[in-house]
Amino acid sequence: MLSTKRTKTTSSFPSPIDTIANNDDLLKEILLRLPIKSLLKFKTVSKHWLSLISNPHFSRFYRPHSNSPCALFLRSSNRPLNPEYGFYTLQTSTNSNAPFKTLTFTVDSGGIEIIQSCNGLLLCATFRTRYRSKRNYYVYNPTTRHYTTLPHPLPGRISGVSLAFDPSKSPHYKAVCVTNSRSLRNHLQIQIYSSETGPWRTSAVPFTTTGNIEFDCGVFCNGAIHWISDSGRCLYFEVDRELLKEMPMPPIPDGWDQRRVRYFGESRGSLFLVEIYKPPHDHQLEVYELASDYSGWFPKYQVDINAVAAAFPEMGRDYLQDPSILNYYAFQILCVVKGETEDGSYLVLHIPNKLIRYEFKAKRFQKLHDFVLSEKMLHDIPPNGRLLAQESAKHFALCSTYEYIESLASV
Amino acid sequence: MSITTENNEKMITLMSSDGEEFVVEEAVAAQSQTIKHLIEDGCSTEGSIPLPNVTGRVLSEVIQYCKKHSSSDDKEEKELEAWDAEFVKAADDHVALTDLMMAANFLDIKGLLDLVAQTLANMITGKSPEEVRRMWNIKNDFTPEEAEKVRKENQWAFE
Repeated sequence: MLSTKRTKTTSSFPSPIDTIANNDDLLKEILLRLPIKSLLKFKTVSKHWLSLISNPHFSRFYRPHSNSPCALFLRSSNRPLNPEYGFYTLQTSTNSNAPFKTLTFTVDSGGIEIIQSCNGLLLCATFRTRYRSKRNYYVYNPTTRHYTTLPHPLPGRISGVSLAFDPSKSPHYKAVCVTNSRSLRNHLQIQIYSSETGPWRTSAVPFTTTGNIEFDCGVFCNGAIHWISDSGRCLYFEVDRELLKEMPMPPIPDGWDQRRVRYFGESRGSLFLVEIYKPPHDHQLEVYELASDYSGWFPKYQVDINAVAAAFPEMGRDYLQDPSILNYYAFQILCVVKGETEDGSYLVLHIPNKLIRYEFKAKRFQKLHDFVLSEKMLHDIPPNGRLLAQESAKHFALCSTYEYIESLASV
Repeated sequence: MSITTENNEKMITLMSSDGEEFVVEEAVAAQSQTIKHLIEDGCSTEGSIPLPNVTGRVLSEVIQYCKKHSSSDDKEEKELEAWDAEFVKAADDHVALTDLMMAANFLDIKGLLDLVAQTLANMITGKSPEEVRRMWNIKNDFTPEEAEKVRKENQWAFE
């Protein structure tokens, strides 16, 4: 009996389907190429699939858009309870749904706002609170919709918290908090939290700063958090080596007492900076990239603002009358995206009532989105403001922007 | 014993698991890292390289792909893309594609592996877990409670 049974099983040549389902390497090759929604759904195919897809090493390699943003969250209103975010895809072809409008992944009586977007994870915090030390900080993955609440930092007045997460290096993330020093007057202190090893601890020596430094707007790039200042020294903190260093900046031109930074952000391991001191009317807008050895900034991309303004005359603030006035054109740089090749690099401009994608190499631009003022939004604006709201350039308001990068990273 | 063509191309013979022989230019065969290493290690001196994991039917498809991709240095990328699309379409169903993927993996041909893996991924995108199980012959080993728990944790994906 036994022997016939055996013959039966061994004689049936395994179908190739069986072999591939049993070959984790090949199965992973296929799973890595699935869109995220299918992938999450397929966690219920079998326990084996669940363990493959949930494995942190798999999620590190799963980067459907190779760490490029596929959409932006734009803070659309400062509602008294919970800020709202608009969701805007960056490819005209993709049409994914907004993962959220307001952040309600957990109950926080003060509402929740986004602080920073870092390679797929969002650092969020209590929106309304009287004392900064009472704020809750969260790490939220908008793709998987999982979140974790960070423990409260060690006592001290918090100047800012930043997230450090690089899935190509580690599946874990760190958070860096700048507080006032408890031991030295007028000094600041850095604290670090690690999702791998746990609690907040102080790091490095207390330090001082000059001028206003925006510790609330840290930009993570190549293992370091970078903070800029409009008047003083700009700093960066190498998270693994726990070293605080000064970041060189282009000189502030004569006649200006402050930096006019119009964009500071990261893409594919490069830092980009746009400062505007001259009206872009008669020359191009210059996007600078920081040399990887921090030796200085060099011009990398140019934007022909005049061409964009010619196509979208609503950018002109007519009431200023003269296009050579510094702020004549209403625009905001939302993000600079470095492509896999130079051809693929672009930036996203917010102009009155529109989002524009501008490709550097081809100097080509296209409209990504129209902001349509809904009835409800119009209703929220006092009657005498409605006309203004529709007269876009005058109404143009800058808004906080956060990149949406699909990720399976666990939080 | 190696044969050379009029163009002085070195030819080698590949032998499939079912004994079929294919004479191809060395440059074509060397798209496979596995074969390339075999040649470098001098394993082709006998004139033919045995490939015990690949049947003649699959090997002939693989060779087609390698020929196209070795002669396409200056060709338009677009044309190559279109050719690739036709190529995987001709493989017809996921069983044939799976064969091809196994071969690409064994022969270590990165471009082909990528192409086939993407095609197979496209085939299951949007399908239900049940459909995937049927297609791939996978047993559902979740209890209803366990399945419900996983579904809850990833609820939005099922909406």
